[in-house]
Amino acid sequence: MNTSAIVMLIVVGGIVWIGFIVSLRIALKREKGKNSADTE
Amino acid sequence: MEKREVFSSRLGLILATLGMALGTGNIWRFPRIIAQNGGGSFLIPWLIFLFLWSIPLLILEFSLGKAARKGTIGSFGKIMGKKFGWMGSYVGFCAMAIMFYYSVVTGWCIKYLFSSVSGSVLSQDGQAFWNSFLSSSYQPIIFHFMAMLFGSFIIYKGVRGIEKVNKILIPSLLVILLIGMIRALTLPGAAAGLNYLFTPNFSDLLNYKIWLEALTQSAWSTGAGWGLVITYAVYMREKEDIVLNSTIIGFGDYGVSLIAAITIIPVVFALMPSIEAATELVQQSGPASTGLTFIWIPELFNQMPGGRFFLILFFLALSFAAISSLISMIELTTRIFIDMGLTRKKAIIMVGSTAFVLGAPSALSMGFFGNQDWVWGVGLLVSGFFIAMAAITYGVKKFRNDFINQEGNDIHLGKFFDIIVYLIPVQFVVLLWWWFSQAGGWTDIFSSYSVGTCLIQWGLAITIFIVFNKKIMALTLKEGEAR
Repeated sequence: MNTSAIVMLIVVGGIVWIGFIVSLRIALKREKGKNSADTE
Repeated sequence: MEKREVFSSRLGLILATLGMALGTGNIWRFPRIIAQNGGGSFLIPWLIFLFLWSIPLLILEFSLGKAARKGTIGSFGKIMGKKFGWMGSYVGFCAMAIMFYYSVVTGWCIKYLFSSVSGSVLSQDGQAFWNSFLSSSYQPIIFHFMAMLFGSFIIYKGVRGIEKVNKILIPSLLVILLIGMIRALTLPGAAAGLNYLFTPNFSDLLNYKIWLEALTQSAWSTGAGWGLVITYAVYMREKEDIVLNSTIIGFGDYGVSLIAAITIIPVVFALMPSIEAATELVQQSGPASTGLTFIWIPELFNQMPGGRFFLILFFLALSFAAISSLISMIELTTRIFIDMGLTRKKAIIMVGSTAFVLGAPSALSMGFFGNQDWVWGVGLLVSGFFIAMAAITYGVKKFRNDFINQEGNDIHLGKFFDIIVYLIPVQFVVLLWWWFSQAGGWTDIFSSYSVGTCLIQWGLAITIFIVFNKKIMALTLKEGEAR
């Protein structure tokens, strides 16, 4: 692969996939917190 | 009082809305759109519109549906006032018009899944198989009917049916796509496809078409501006988050689009005899842009070891994605009629039979299909504009405080969000002006892909909804329900 293609893949893929994983993790963590608060 | 159905958990809501977003837009549309529009250069406007168009619109849609607890027409009437209800009618109709031909595409996916399992799709030339399928007077109609029947049956089970189906479909879809991507990337010569896909040519960014296609693709694929999220938000729990959920849908949808492109384009480059032949193939995707998926993919998969197995997986993923999106479109239309007082059963029978009849011309004529995909795909920009106008008419700051920054929301939105909302109409006007001034064809209303055909069909729909707005509002909202 050429360098500019690798840079583009890392930048776009990184923003999209890291964004997805981080936001999903935060959402599920908050949901767990809300549920345990409701139980208490 | 009738008990309102709600999604049982946040994960249930996220998977259902991801199911709405993940569809043929990711697997059938994105790889060919990026291939035809500059590869790496296309990714720049595509990513910009995620943050300036799609995620903000998803946030507005969640807020509208959650606040109004009505479908598209009722939400606009309730939040903006009854005299603006016609905007909600247009948003609903645009999604409905897409549903008519989307069901046809879902039918194709199911047909190809069956044919991959039986092996018949591999027994003859890809073009010949596709032609014989389309020229058959009954097959496209039968598979379109099957898609609508299956989708309507899931919707009949209500929101819990949608949740259950998506809990199976979405994780399965991701696993299948990941397997396909690993296989594609391990083919010798796949790197040439990645080079084609990700190498930017910045001069392409001066072409209006790349920006128009990037915005249309972003809206088409994430579901922003369709009104689908307004509909699913009707079933949100009271203290449910809006902002983070919208971000997850946007990123998740884009991530799957990238996986689909990284799977399909390298396969083409690895299996075609030369890079020139592969480039020509991905840029000319056949009648109504069906060629890459339905003609070349079966032929190319047939050439690789274990190809039939991966072809079955590919069409299984495509069918799962198509069905999970089709059901959200059926639900959107069904919800509108439920708001008008029909029972779910009666509304589904009406929507299912109407969609079957009005989708039939797209099943029988590729010219008609291509025209509808163009008119209502770009028509989503108008829908997005109307949704932004709902917040602007209400007062963006007030909208943010009243409907978004409420208890249960994980991320508090500040003033910057107001600026982004104001930018939505600006993007709409600039892009439309750029497109209209460059493309021409204003009076050419009978050409499949002209400005004229879009203006006449959008104009006709909007005129009808303005004329009948009072009647539609009277059916949808009770006295005192509107602002």
